[in-house]
Parts: sequence; structure tokens; C-alpha cells
Amino acid sequence: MQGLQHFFRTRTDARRAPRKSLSVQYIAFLIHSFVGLKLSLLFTVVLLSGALAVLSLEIDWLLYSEFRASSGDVRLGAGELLDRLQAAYPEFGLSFFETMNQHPGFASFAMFNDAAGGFRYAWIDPYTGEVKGDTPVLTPGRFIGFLHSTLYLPVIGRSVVNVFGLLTLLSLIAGLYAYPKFWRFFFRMPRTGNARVFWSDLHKLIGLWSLWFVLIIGVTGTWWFYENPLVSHLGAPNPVEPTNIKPLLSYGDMDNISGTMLSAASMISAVRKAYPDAQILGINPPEHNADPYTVTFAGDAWLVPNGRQNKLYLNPFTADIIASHTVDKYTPAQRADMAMAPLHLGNWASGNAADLPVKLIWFVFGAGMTVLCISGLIINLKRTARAARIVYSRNSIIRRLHKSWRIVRPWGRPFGLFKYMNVLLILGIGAGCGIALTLSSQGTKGAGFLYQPQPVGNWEVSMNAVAGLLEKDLNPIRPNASVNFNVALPDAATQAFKFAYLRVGEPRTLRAPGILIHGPAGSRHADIHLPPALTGNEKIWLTAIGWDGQVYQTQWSLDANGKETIDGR
Amino acid sequence: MDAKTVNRLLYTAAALLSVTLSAHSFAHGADVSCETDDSHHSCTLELDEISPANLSIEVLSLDLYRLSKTRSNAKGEFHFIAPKQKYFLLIDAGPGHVFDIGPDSFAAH
Repeated sequence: MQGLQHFFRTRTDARRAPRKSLSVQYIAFLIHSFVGLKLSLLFTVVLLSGALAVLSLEIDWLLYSEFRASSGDVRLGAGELLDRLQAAYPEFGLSFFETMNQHPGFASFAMFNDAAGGFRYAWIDPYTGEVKGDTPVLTPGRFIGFLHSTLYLPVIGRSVVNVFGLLTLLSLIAGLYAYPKFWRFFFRMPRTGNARVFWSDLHKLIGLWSLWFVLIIGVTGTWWFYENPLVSHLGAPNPVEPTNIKPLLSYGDMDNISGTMLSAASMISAVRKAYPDAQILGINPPEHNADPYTVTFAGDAWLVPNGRQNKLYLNPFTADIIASHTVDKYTPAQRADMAMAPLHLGNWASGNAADLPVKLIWFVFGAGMTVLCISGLIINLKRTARAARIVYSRNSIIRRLHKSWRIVRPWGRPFGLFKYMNVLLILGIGAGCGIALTLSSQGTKGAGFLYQPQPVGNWEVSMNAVAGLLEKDLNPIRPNASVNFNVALPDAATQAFKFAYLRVGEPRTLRAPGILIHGPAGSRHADIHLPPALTGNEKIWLTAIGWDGQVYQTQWSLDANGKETIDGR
Repeated sequence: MDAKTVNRLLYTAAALLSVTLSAHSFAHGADVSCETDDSHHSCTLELDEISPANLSIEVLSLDLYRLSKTRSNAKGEFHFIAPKQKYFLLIDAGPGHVFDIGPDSFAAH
């Protein structure tokens, strides 16, 4: 009872205590504590995964023999490598081939969809041409990378991560204001007499030595926060001009070609004639007959991520370069936007000997930022725990009750009102990780509604329809829904057809037969947006136009009718 | 201003931020969104992975008679006068990418 009286007396006294007057430093301290503590569980996940993501390639290189190349001086040509790799996977069209030219110890690789529709990478040694096998897309390194960039939270993941960029910058500025004459303390070692003082001193010391790094992460993260969600979802003005879009072949190009595409090696030979010193980074083969080959190559420009390097687009039937988007033509705002990723990820030294040392520096300081977040939490816990100990030390029952209450109540330091948000988001990340791992190994082929084989000219075509990767068990045919149709087209048919399309209802005109079926061999598909109202009697029409102009058509019931369309769920 | 006020301000800022995030607009299937003033339509065209700039757009009757023709500008915007009869738009974005869109598929701005 005495303890209880003391408890209430202390609380009443605390309410009556004069409020502490605010200085700029104290306000800065409050801001620093607020942004650092309220979402600190999530912040720790973002920071730790970010530190590890810097070394994601190296982690996978250690874990998978397929990633490793033999040592050698002379690499095979990029086109030849892709052609060899494609020959080893004749049933599956390869896409997004990366030479890994800037990482000499790594094999080259391309992506494909396996028989079930799951995503995998196929690997080839660039020195010997030996096909090394294939790996899942979500290797541990990539898993960590995606965790850092999306937290595996659907829709809002990238926006949530980008918020932490803004919080980092705010925390840095407020932290410096809160730490008077901070420049005097670069060489002051943490005092070890008291745990709270030790963590506080360590927090400040790491913070001081990480200033440059925290500034880079804060500025780049804030830049991305402005892009997503402010520009992408809320219509804020975008200072960065839109990126160039890959062109299609023109009608003139299409009039002068036959139905046989040239090899990747032919494309690279054409590139070499125009750009003899180009260091080829990637090749993306066409997904349909009006789609050009895309060849990516590195130039002299600095701070350009691989995916946004110089791009050439080549007619796949003639190897003519039909368009180019080179880095020297980008605007200053586009160049600044490009520079954010290499600065943030620490891979700006790719292609030279400093690559790994730079990454290790980024990893060490990334780990340092994680320690900053955790130590801030520890300092706060120790500070509040000490005060609580003094207040509740006299009665063990009240102490236990109060401890339990402090854990379950939806407010209170250090998370404040954000306590359950931390927990919910962490649970969401856990669920998202599980889904991502499942989806990366599974596809959508054979799921949903099954459209039975139908003759189209001399060939048979079948399809299946699913509402989405996560919605395989949903009825895919719903008003206003988007549906993915996987189309099984025999190779001979794809050779004979110039284009093939899907449309709900008979085409009004053969000038617009529907949505183009596209994609690499083995994963051809079309995404159809269904009408806002469905009667149940609609037909899904497949229209193919041959190179000779001949028109082939067939149709299925759009909804499952137990005959040509079966509900396979 | 005291510490409580600062804390309240910080919570308010956090609430605004969360509203910002939750205001995400989901992608939808409409490719053409229009503002209509009587029969005058001011529309914006959006296409997946294809530039909507400078494309030929025809207004066709259901019996495929061309009623009018226009072009999108650099931002994919275009204007047309809706005919009295039933019609649809034929948007030519290049080989394999010609789309027919009826007015029932237009989304409002």
C-alpha cells in the first residue's frame, strides 16, 4: 500500500513539476529522439538489411558455385554467350542477360521462366562458355536487397522505406543541433563507468565519424522519398524529365523483313561497328516481332547505375540500330537522379579494383548506422528504466504489474503511439517475405481457368487465366478485373505469326485485333482488362496475323463452361 | 512552446506523413481519361511501356467509317468532338499496338 501511495504521489508531483524551458538544442534533441525512436524496430530492419545489401552479390558468390567464373584473360563475346546459354535452354526464352563484365570473378546470367512459370537465372562462364546451371531468382543476397528496398510490403513498401531516408536526414540535422560543439569530440573515447553513459558516448562517437555517410544516405533517401510517394502517388511536380521509352520497330521496318530473327552475336557485331570500345553490360532479346533488341553498354560517365547505362535498340531482323539513348544526352536532373543509386548502394566503383574496398566501407558504415539506431534505443530504455526503478522499487507486485502494462499498452516510450505500428509492420514484412519466397519458386502456368487446346491454322493453342500471382485461387473472370492469360503457342506457330492478339469479344476491326501476346518462349502472355459488366456469355478471341497476311482466329468461352473452358482451381 | 508541444507537433507531422503514404492511388485499367464539356472531349492517353506522344487517333463509327482524326501531343493529350452516333477511338501506337477504346472505357480525370 505504501508503494502504491508513493506511486500516485510521484505521478502527481511529476504533473505539478515546472515544465522544462526549451532551447533550440532541446527541441533538436526531441526531434532527434522522436524520429530515431518511434519506428526504431523497422528502422533497424531497413538499416541492417541495407548494410548487408551492399554485399549482396558477394554473399551469393560465396554461396552459389553457379555465380563463380573461372579465372581467365579473354572473355567470349556477349552475344555469343547469350546464344550459347539460349541453346542450352531451348524450351525457355531467356531475357535480361547480364554479362557481369564489371565483375571479373562472376559468371554471366539471364532470366527465364521454368515449366511451372517460376523465375530462375541461368548461368554461363564468360571465359570458357561452360553453362553452369541455374539458380532461383531470390537468392539470399537478392532477398536481402529486395527486403531493403521494399520490405516485401505490397503497394506501400518502397514509400515506407523512403520515409526512412527523410528521417535519416532529419535525425542527422537535429542530432548535430542537439550536440553542442560536436567537432570537439571526434577523439573522445566512450566512458566505461556506466552502461547508459557508455552507450550514449558510443552513439555520439559513431554518429560523428559517420556524418558524411549518414548525409549521403539521408540525401539519397530523401530524394527517393520525394519521387515515391510524393511524385509518383501524390502528383508533386517532378523536376526529373521522364526516362526515354524503348521504341517499337516502325511500319516501314516491318514491311521489309521476313520472319526470322538474327542471333544475339549478330547484334553485338553491329554494335561493335558503331561503338568499337563499348563494354557490353547487358542484352535483352525482343518479346515480340516489333520489339527491338536492347543492348546496354558502359561508357566513361561516372555514377551511372548499370540498368540506366547507354542503350542501343536494334532491329532484330536486320541488326540495324534504330535508336539510341546515351548517357551524354541526359539532362542534369536525370544525371543527378541516376547518381543516387550508386551513391546510396556503394557500387559506384564497379569495374575497377576499388569496387570491393568501397563496398566494404559502405558495409562498415551501414553497420555503424544500425548500431546508432540500436544504441539510441538502448540509451532511451536505460534512461526511462532507471527512472521507473526509482519510482517502483518499493513494491514488487506493482513493479511487475507496471512492467507488464508498459509492454502491452499501445503507447509509451520509446515507441510512443507507434508501438503497435512497429509490430504490425514487422509482422507484415514476415508475411511478405514468405509470400515472396513462395512466388519466386512458383508460377501461374496451369492455374486458374484452363482454355482447352483449339486449332489455329495448322497448330493448337491453349491458355490459362489467373487473376494474379497472389490470386491464383480467385475466380479470374470478374468485371473490371485485370487478368493474365498465359498462352501456349507452339514454336512453329510463333514463326508463322507476325502478331497474335487476345480480345474479349470479336474484334471490331482487324486493324485493332486486341492486346498483343508477348514474352519470351515458354512464357508468352497477354494482360487483359475485363469490361465493367459481364453477362457470362462473352468469348475470348485469339486473332493471329501471319507474315503472309493470312488471318487465323479462334475463340473460347471467357467464363468456365466445363467444355472448352474449365475451372482448374 | 514546451516539450509537450514539440511532441504534439512531431506526432502531427507523422500523421500527415502516414496520410501521404495511404493516399496511394492504385493503377487501373483505363488507358484514356477524359474531361467532357458538352461534346468536346479533352483526354489523356496512357500506354504501358510505349510513348503516348504524337500518335494518330481516329474516331470511327461502329460500321468503321472514319468520323474524325486527331493526334496526341508530347504529353499524350488530345481533343476530339464526340459524334452524335455510337463511336470508338482507334489509337495507333505502332506495329502490333493498335488499340480500340469505346467511350464506356474512358475514365474521368
